[in-house]
Amino acid sequence: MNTEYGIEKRLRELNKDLHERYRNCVTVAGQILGRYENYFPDFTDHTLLHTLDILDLCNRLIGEQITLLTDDDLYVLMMGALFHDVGMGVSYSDFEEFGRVLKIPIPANDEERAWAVRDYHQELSGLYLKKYWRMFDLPNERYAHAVIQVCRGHRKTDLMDEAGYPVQYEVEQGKTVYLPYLAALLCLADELDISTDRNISFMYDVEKMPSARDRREFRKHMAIHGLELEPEKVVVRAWSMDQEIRDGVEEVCAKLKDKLLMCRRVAAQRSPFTISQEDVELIWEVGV
Amino acid sequence: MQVVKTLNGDELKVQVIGRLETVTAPMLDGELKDSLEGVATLIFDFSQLEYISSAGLRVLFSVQKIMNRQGKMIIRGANEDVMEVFEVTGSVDIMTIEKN
Repeated sequence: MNTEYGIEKRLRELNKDLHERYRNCVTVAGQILGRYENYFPDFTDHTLLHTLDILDLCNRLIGEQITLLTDDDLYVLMMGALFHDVGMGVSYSDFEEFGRVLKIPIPANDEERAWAVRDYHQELSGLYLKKYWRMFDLPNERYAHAVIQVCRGHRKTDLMDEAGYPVQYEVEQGKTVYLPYLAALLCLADELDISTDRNISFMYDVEKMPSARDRREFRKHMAIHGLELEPEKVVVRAWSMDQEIRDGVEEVCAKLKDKLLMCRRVAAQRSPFTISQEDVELIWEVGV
Repeated sequence: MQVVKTLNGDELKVQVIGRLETVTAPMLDGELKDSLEGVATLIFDFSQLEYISSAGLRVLFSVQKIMNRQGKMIIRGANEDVMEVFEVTGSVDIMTIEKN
């Protein structure tokens, strides 16, 4: 994992105050995200490590276009990366409260609740920030809304929607952020964080996972052991002898390609930025 | 924000008055930086703390780390708003917070 986070360095250079506000949230977000592990020990990693992966991937997707992003763009993106999965770690009482807003059917048991949290977590993250944004020292409610939209946009949200994602959203008078591009970056980076690095194998005993769906999800991730961002394509390297897992990895790559094309389209049509990669290549390795 | 420190042997009591957020948190950090040497028990009196944000929590987490090595840290007197922040952020899981 690359630890040279250009976007964080750039934010520090451009705006020390916003950088400090972000830094103050890192430890706290880590603590909140850590709670999710207690609730769902068998789910794929959504902790601070995943957030760091996402920042690294955003950094690489942005590349030299970083000079076109303002301090506000960088702050909103980084806060979005930090909090996009925070919905996975909401308390039981907040889940009940947010569940009523989202009209989530009341789960019959812990497993159903776990899947409801996973399925709706982008909206839960949004509602969490809407309720608690002040405690994270966001400069004002409009910044909070921008971060919320970036968080929501990482899954199942229409980034072409002009009302929800105006091309330039004003966070302060005369200061705007490229909301659709920032959300597309986070959405794509989240989807790209699929390789085995995300789930350190010794931390999980796949065979003891109670749910067949969990076991299958994990095996797919464990089969993917490399992901490279080339200028024109994403290369996924995988290995498995099990046909069911191979089929699963093919599905993952097809989904990744759909996301890539959607995010490319959002960047091209709704921002002055580009996402250069246009294809996903799956390479099956032999004898790994 | 005001910080009142009282040292009694190896016990340091720190009363924080006002709001602990992005502007004031560095002040608390500065106040504590040179005061923790030889302290085995650190007690924060938050009975007059009105509000705390992530900036304040960052200072507390960092002090907690130091106190884990040399003794213990206890938080007392937090009001409902401050307690909510501790609960929502999972701070209650890693700090000793005495409820009123």
